[in-house]
Amino acid sequence: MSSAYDEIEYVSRPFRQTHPDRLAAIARLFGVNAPNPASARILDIGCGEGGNIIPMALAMPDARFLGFDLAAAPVARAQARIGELGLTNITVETLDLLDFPLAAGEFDYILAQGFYSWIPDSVREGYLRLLAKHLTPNGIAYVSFNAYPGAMLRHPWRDGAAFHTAVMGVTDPKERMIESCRMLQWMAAASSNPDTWTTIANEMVQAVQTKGMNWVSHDDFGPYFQPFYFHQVAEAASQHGLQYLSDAVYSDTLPHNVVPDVQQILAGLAQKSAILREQYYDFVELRPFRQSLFCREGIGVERSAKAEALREMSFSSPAQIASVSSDGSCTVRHPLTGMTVEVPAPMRKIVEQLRLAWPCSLPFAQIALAESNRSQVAETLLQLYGVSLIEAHLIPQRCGNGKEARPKAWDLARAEVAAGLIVTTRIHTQIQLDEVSASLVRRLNGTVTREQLATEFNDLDGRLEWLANFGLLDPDHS
Amino acid sequence: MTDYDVIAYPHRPFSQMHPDRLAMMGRMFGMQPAYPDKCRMLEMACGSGGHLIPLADHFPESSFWGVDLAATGIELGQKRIDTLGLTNIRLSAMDLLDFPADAGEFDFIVAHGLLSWVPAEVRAKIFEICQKHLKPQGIAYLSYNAYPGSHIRQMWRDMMLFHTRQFSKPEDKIQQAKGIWHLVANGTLRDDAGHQLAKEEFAKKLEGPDTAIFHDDLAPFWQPFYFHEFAAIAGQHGMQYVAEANYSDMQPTGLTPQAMQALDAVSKAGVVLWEQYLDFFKMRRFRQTLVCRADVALHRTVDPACFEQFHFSASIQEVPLDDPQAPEGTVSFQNGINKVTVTTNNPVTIPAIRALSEHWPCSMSFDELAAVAGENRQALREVLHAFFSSQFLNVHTIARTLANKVSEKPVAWRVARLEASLDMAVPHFHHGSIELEDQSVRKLITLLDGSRTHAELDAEMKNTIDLQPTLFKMMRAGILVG
Repeated sequence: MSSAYDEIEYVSRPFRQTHPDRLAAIARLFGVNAPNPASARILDIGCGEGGNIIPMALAMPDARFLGFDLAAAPVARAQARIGELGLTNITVETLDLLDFPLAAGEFDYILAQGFYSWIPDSVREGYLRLLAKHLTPNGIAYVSFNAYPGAMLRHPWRDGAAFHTAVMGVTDPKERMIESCRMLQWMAAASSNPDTWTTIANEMVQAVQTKGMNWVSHDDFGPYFQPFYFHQVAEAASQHGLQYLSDAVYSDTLPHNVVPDVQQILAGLAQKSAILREQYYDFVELRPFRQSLFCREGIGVERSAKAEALREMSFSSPAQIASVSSDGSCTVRHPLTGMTVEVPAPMRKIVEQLRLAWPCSLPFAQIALAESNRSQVAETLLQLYGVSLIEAHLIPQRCGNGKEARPKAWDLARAEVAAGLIVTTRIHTQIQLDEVSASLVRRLNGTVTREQLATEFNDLDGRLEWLANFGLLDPDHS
Repeated sequence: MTDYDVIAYPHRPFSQMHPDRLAMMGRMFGMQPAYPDKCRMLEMACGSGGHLIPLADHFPESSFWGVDLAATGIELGQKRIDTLGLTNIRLSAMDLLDFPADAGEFDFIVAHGLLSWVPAEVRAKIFEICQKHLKPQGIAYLSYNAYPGSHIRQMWRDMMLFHTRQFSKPEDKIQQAKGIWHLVANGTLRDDAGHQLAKEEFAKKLEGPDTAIFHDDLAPFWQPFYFHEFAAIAGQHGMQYVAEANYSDMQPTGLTPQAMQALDAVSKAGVVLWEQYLDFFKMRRFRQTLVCRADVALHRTVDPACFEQFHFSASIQEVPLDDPQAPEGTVSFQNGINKVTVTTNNPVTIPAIRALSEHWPCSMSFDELAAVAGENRQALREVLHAFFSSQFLNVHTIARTLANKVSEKPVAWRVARLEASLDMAVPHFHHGSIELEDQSVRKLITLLDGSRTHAELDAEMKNTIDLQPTLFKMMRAGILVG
C-alpha cells in the first residue's frame, strides 16, 4: 500500500518533546508513576524513517522499540539504518494501523507525532482503540495534533491550494506541492495594502522557506488536515478510557503569556475541570498546535506539579549566564532555544553548576549538596524547568565532554555523516555540521588518539568541545 | 417561536438589494430586467419589512411580498403598512418550505442574511424558489458568508458558542459572547499577528449592533460557502452568476501586480473561477450575489455604452487639494457618504461632478450630464464607469426625484416620518437609512408634513434645534421630498 509519504519524503527527525525520558519526568511531576523509560517498551506510530525512535533505541539499549508506518519506502530506509547500526532492540514495519496485531502486546510509551490530524476518521478511531488495548496500566500516550482555534487560520491557504491545484489539474505530487506553495505565496502577497491577515499568511510563507516545502506539503496541503479543539480530543480519549495528563512540554502548561486576571480565571477553571482549563487556555493563546500526554483513567493525576517529584531526577542545561545585575540576579541565555530569561540570584548557582556539568546531567542530590533546604532547591528547579531553562531526566544524561583521550562520536552520527551533514545527537536533537566537523566526526571512532587527530585538524580542542556541547560524543569508556 | 421573535432583526432598508440596483446591474451585464417602478418583488426573510415598506411607498405601481418565519416581525411590519395605508405590499408569516407553488413569477427575489443561516433543506428550498419563481429576465439577490475569510469569523464563532453554551437568555449570550472575545483579545501578553487580528476584529465587532452577534455569530446554523460552491449549487438549480450587488466588490482593486498576473492567467477559465481566485486574494468573508436563469445570454465585459441609459447621483463635495504640485485646474472631490475621493483636471469630468453635486440628492440623466460635459459622450461614459467601479457615484435605471432645496414648508418622506416616530433608523429616498440618536431631530422629522413654515417649526420645537442647518442636512440626506 502506498501513501503520500511514499512520494514526498517527510522530514523524519528526532522530536525531543516525545522522548520517553521527558514524558516520564512530566508524568511523575504530576503524580503518575510512569514506567522507567530505560527499560520500557515503546511504540512509535507513523514512524517514517525512524528518525525519532532509532536514536532512542541506540541511546537506551535496554528499552525495546516498535515503529510502524503505512508508507513502505521510509520504513525500508529505517530498516537499513537499523541494520547498519546493528540494533537488536528495535523493529520497524510497514503496517496499516487498522491491522495492528493484538499480539503485539502492551507498551509503556505510545508516541504519535504528526499523526492524529493527518489521517481519516476511521484511522483516528483505530488509533484510540489501539491506545485502549495496548497501553500498559501506567503507560503514557503522546499525541500531537493541529489545534483550533489557531489552526482555523490555516484553512484559507489549505483550501486555496486545493482549489488552485484542482483548477490546474495537477496530479503529480511534487508539482502539487510546488503549485500549493505558489498559491500560498500569491495569497500572502496579493494585497497592496497588507493587513494583519497578510502578516499571518506571510509568516507561513517564511515558515515554508525555513522548514522546506516537504514539511508544509504534508502538514497543510496533504490529503488529510483535521484540527481539533482540545476538548474534542479529550472527549474522544475519554471514550476510550484515557484521561488528559499534561502537555508534553511542561513550560507550555504554564500561563506565562496571559494577564494576571486571566491567570486567575484559568486557575478557577482548573478547580472545576482540567479540560475546561486547557480549552480556555487554548482560546486565549489562539493555539494552533498541541502536544498532549494521556494516561489511563483511574490514575490519580495531580493537577499542579509537585516539586518533590524532582528529587528522584537529574537535571541538565547548556544555558549560560549572559550578564549579572548589581542585585545578584542575572540574564540567562539558552543556546539551543535562543531564549533569554531573567533569573533571581538564588537560581544563579544552579544554572552555573549545570552549565559546568553540561553535556551531562547532575542528580538532585548533587545540586542540593551544600543546601540545607532541599525543598527550596526542588522549588527552584521546578521554576527553572517551568521556563524551559533546564531539562529534567529520569535517565541521567551522559555524554563525552571532548576531553577524552580517544574521543568517540556516537554511532548514529557517524552513520549519518557518511551521507550528509545533518546529524542526530545523543540528546535527541539534530544539528548541521560544517564540512570540517563532518570529516572530524567520521574520524571519531574511538580508536584514534587526540594526538593523532591534532595532526589532522586545526583547533582540535575547540572543535571537540563544540561537538561535545551538542551531545555528539560518547562518554569515556576507557 | 423563532430566535427572531425573541430578538428582532434590525428594521432597515438595504440599498444593495433595491430593485433599481438589481435592474441596473442586470442591464450592465446584458439583461433586460423590469424597472423598479413597475416590478413584482419577493423578499425571503423580510423581518418586519424594513426593506420592502419604503419600496412599496416609493413605487406604488410595483407590488411587494415579504415572507418570514417569525410572526412577531410580520405583525410589526403590518402595523406600519396599515398606518401608511399601503395596498401594494403583503407580509406573510410563513415557513419557506411551505412556499406556495402558485405564487407566480417575480422580477426580483431577494434574501439578505438567510442562505448561510438556515438548515440544508431550507437552503435548497431558497434556490428552488428562485428557480421556479423568477421571470425569464428576473434577478435574485442572495447574501451569504463566504470562505476563505469566514474562517476568521468561524474561529470567533466557535469560541463564543463554546463559552455561551450554558446560557439560555439571549441577552446573557450576547454579553458572554463579548466576554470571551474580550478575553482572547486582551487577556494575552503576546503581540503576535493572531492576537493583533483578535484585537482588530473585536474592536470592529463592538462597533456593530448586538443583534448581529446574536443572529449572525451565534446563530444555530452558520454555513459559509466558497463562491465556486455557491455557483455550482446555483447551476444545479438552473441559474447562473450575474454579478455582485456592489460592483466595486467585483473589481480587482488593491491587488499587487503579481496577484493581477495570477488573475489574468485564469481569466479565460471563466468568471466563476476568476472570482474565486479574487476571493482567495481578498480573503473575502461575505458576498451579495446576483443570479439569473441559466438561459439568459449575459456578456461578461461591461460596455460603457450601456451607461447612456442610466441616471446618476452622488453626494459630492469639493475638498482642498492635498497635492500642491498638481497641474493647473486640478480639483479634488469627495463622496460625503463613503469618503471616496477623486482628483482630476479632466475638462469632461469636472463640470459633470460639479453638476452632480448641485443636483444631489436628485439624479441626472446621461444626456443632462453630457450637456454640461461638452457633449464628449465617449469620454463621459468611460469616466462614469470608472467612478461607479470605485463607488464614487450611484447609478440608477430611473430618475431619483426629491427635494434638493429646503422649501418654505418642508415635507419629509412619509416613511421617514413614520420611522422617526418609532425608531432611531430613519430611511431615506436612496434606500439607506441614517441613525438619528438625537430625539429632537427625530421629532422635527415627524413634524415635516408640509403644513408648517420654518417659523412654526421653530415654535413647535421650542427652539431646541438649530433649524436651518438641520433641515439642510435632512435635505442632503435624502429625507425631504418637498
